[in-house]
Amino acid sequence: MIELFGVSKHFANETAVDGISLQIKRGELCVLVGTSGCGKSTTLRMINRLIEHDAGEIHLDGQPVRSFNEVALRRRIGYVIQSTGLFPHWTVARNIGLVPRLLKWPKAQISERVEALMQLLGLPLAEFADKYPHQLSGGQAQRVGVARALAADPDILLMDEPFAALDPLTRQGLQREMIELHARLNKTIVFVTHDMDEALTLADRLVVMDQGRIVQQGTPVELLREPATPFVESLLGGLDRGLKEAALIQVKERMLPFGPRLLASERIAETAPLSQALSVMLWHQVERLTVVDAEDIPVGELSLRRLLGVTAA
Amino acid sequence: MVKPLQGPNWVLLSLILLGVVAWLWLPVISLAPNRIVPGTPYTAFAVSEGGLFLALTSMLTMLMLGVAWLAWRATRKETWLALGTVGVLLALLPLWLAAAAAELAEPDLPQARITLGAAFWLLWFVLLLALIELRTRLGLSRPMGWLLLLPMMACWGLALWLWLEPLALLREYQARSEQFADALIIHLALVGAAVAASLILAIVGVLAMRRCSGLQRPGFAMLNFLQTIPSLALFGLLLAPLAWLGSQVAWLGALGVSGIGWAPAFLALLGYSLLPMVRNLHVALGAVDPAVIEAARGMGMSRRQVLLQARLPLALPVVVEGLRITTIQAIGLTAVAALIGAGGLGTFIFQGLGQAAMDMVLLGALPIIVLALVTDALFGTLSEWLRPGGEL
Amino acid sequence: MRYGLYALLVVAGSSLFAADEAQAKDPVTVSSKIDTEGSVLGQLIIQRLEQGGIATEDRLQLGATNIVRQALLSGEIDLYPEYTGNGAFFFDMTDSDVWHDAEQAYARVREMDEANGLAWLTPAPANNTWAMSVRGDLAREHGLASLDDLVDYLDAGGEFKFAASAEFVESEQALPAFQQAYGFELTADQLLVLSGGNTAATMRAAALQTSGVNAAMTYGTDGGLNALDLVVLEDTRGVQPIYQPAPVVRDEVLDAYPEMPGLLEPLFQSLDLETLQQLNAQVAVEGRDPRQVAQEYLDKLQD
Repeated sequence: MIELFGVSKHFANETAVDGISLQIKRGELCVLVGTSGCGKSTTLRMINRLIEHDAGEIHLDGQPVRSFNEVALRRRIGYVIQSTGLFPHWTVARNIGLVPRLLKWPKAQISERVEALMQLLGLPLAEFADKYPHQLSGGQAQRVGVARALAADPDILLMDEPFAALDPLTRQGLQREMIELHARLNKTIVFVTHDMDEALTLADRLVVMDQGRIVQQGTPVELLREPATPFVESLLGGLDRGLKEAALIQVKERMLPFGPRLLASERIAETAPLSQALSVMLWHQVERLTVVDAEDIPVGELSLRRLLGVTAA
Repeated sequence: MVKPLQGPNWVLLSLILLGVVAWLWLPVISLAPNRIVPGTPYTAFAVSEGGLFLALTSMLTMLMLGVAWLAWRATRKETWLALGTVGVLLALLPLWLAAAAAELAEPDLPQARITLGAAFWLLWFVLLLALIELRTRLGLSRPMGWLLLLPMMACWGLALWLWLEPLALLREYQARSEQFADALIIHLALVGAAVAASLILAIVGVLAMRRCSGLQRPGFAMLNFLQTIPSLALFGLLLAPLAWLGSQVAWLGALGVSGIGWAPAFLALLGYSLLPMVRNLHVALGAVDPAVIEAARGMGMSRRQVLLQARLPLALPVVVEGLRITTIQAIGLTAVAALIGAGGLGTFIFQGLGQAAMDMVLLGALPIIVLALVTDALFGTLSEWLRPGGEL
Repeated sequence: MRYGLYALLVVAGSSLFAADEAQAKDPVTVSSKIDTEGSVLGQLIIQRLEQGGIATEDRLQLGATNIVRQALLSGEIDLYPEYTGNGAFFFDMTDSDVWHDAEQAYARVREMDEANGLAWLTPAPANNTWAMSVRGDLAREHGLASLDDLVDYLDAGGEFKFAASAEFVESEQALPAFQQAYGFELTADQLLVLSGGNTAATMRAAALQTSGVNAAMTYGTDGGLNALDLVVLEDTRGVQPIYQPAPVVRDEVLDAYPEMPGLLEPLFQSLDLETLQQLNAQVAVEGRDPRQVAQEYLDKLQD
């Protein structure tokens, strides 16, 4: 549980963070989103004391962060950055094992953990363990970065725009993996991004920041439907919000069991977002799609009206 | 790094043609009746009328022209052939020299000596450059290149031992071989001690500068100033204080600290080595990718751990480069140390100048050049190997 | 770390005591100047002392005059061969006439260095002073043997080009002194001025007739004179100061080894101009090892 009470930070002649208060529950994936310079990265880095806050209090599970030894604190918190920061002179395996080594885990335990993490993040041990960072692609490198952050099994993970430097396809893949990981590992994750779609996809709780202040926080759907200010409204997509909300809802939530009519010719996966279903309908110029499961077996039907959310059948 | 090999190899061609021109028209060796009278120069074919000798000289000329032709045709096979031929030429040169020495020897002039002429040095230099060029073209590694020099060195060793007695350089060496060994050891000791000490001082200095950034400007200003003082002037400046120190503090005097000798030489060399070392270390430690440092700190490494496990290892290749430059500079500068009685290879240079015996000067200068080249090669390879993911 | 420092100090201190004790048994540190004659005289001294049972340490060819003198004064070396005429520079007495007489020069410099704790032993008769030499063929053709002959030759309009160092041309004791005493003056055309001070270069210029040079500045005992066929013009009017080599030794060392003067005196007395020239020639011209040259000469002396 991470709590910020009236936290501020000033640099030279500007205020980066201005009295923000935030509560992040255990196991929550909280996304800080905003334009450049809104203070989201600074806020993140005050949690693990890479930056010291000037005013206010930051508590971890009730204890102020200042009461911990700063180096010991950081070893309990995972940290992932945009440029990965992998040590170029160490192999992948050695990079991942960094924090366990700092904590003086026994060697056998460290290699066991490294192996497990590499498997978790889809990096086959035999192929990647002895590679050097410069031999990896962007996506692979960031996977190693995440593995490294998870190595000592911290309760909290801080991620500062980790996927921003990757190509869209890789980015999407990693976002999906992130969601799975979060579901599996149930860690508290604080995620910073300026990409709204990424924020909406990942967040349990979405926090919009602007000029060092929190403008609004809540679930993605809450913010989409009820933006507190025109700024939030435009940040969340303005008129595109319809599609953005549709992207958050899966087909299976709106589908109906088969009707008496023939199966529609075009298919859509049940886990696909509504926005994709809409796109398929537009593409094939149809109003009905057959919903299939993972094995491609029809499980239901989705009509345009159901998609739009019109309550009459 | 394998380039498609086609078309004339202009570099090799121009090099070897230059060598051939020098070989045919510039004097290759000269014969001097004694040490201080300059000798009569001979071009390659003018050395002797003997049939066997002319055949040998013609063969060498043919081989050189052969390399030129291979350079013109420059396909892969021909480049390999050229490499082999250049190696053979390098190995044959000392043997030809031995033959020439035998031809020119006059039994009634036992003091007569042979000096190497412009053509010889030029040809040798050109052939070595050609070797490097061919090695790079064929994508061979550095150690392979050194391996290729082995036959040449073997032939030189053989020739110097058995047949090149009248070579002036060899005569000079033989007349003072013990002195030479001493001078070489002192030279290396001075260089080694000065560079090592400057490395340690530089580490201390740079760490201090990083901690307290106010020290940077005055620190560098002082070092820059030191660097601009001419070496002889610096020796002069050190003379009085060190003499006083040596006379006042007994155990320092017993160690040999005085206005002349190893103490001012060491201090001056240390001073000159400090600037490149400090600058290099400063850049090396600062040039590490900031993302790595950020991640390291964020993961929970203490300042010291960041320094020892991240900054230093990553800075190492740059530091090795700095060591390379500093050592080579020190090797050259130590030559001047001879002027204040510190010994080293410079003594031969200055003695030779004083006696107008150029080969004695060479006895001092050549080893210095060789030392510098060897240092360059060794450190260069080390630096490449240390780069992250480094291969030789 | 502190214990280490204390230990170092203790060791240093005790070695200091040891050094004091061992003073009497210390080998004599023999040094010399960096030129050819320095190597010859130095080796002669070392081998002679060793023959006489005195242990020596070889620090020959240390550097130029000021370096070696400084080393002697500071006690870093114990003995080296110096020239009596240099007393004029050490004691700033360049105007005095005493340097033109061999005995007076020796007596004066010996007297004055007593204040410095240095003792001058018996000098050699060879006079290694600045001289003007001409090419052998020129000398033979025009019968030139002394500087007076040269003046006659110049007055008769003879071709003359003289290679010398800047110091020689400008220093009052050198060329100007010659010109004043003998009554001649060289024009700028008749001079080739080299910036360095070594006679090897000037002699070489005369031998090769570089730029028409047919005469050179030399030292009296230069080894290359015969090999390059150069003839020294005799300084009949005694213009130049006398430079006789003599061993200069620190008083403490002399007290420790009182047999030293007896060993070195006959050696130095045997070194006249021709002998020293020949010895220098063997090293400079023939390129022989000074050690061997000294050894052979000493062997010949015994006989």
